[in-house]
Amino acid sequence: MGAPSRESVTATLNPDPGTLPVVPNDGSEPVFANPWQAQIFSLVVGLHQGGCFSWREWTENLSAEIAADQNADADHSGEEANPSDSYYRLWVRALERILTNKTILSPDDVQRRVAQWRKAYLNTPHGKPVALPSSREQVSTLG
Amino acid sequence: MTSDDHHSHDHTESPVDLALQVKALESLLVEKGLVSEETLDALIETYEHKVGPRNGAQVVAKAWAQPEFKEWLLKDANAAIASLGFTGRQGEHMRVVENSAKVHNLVVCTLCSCYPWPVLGLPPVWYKSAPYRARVVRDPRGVLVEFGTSLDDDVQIEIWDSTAEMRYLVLPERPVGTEDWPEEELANIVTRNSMIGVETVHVTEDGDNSGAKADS
Repeated sequence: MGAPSRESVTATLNPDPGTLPVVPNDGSEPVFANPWQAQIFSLVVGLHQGGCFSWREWTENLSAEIAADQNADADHSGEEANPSDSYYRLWVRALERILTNKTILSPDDVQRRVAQWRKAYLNTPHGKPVALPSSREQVSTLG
Repeated sequence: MTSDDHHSHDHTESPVDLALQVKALESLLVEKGLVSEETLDALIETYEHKVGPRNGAQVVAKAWAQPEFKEWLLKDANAAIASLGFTGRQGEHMRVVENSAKVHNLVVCTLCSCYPWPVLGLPPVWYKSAPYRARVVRDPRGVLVEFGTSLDDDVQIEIWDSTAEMRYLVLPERPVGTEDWPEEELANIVTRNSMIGVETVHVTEDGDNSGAKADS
């Protein structure tokens, strides 16, 4: 069993007893529901393996994001069509939180790059590989 | 994203915001040299195809078939599991908890989704869900019934809360009638859910378990 602090956090959860998801059939659930889930997963594990943060730091930040998400308005959770999207969305937030705290990347850095990628997608003719103007990198994995 | 998406196919469709955000993070971090594309590709390949509950099923089958391995597994799970080539990546410790006629073990991570990746792969959606994480602690019997598992009233339920440092694997009870089965056949009937503790292991009439067949 967990330490008392864990139990007290559990007690603040407010699950609806009727909403335990149906047990998925073994094998019918893909490991990753779409490419970006695989990308955020590998990014977090890869950064950890490279020494960027300890796994304990990771779980602390992820737990904090999960707790914050559950305390937010009830209609906020489950907005994604796929339940695993809501889970990996919290991975994205937790990673951004760690990177900001460690002053590796600021939210502004990320938003600027998001805008660049968005523009690159919109300006690239259909069927051509997408690349940033300043980068030779070609993207073919976004789906 | 823009009205273009609705009436024009001249441009590459902009991916959803989250995908863009992840792409932005990835490209920035790769440029900073904190992680490489090769590492990311290798990790995805490993977790999509190489680790999964079949690893854990091998561990359980070996423990059922070889009493000395079981003793080692219960005493020093990290070493026993590593001897089969399944090693952890997050520096966590493994502990194997054994079911018996008197005790049924159930694993959860109440705060996030800690899970023994090397032996079970990545966790299923329900394991990560808020209802499972909260209800297993408050009403374990009710949760078990929803998984089709009913235990006698005198069976004690032990709940193990996984953390960044400690991961648990349930050693299910070996079904009666499998005494002379070879290890490979035993491994075929061990399901992922039985190693999390939400199910027990059964033998069906054709000598197999339907849940195990689809498991990769």
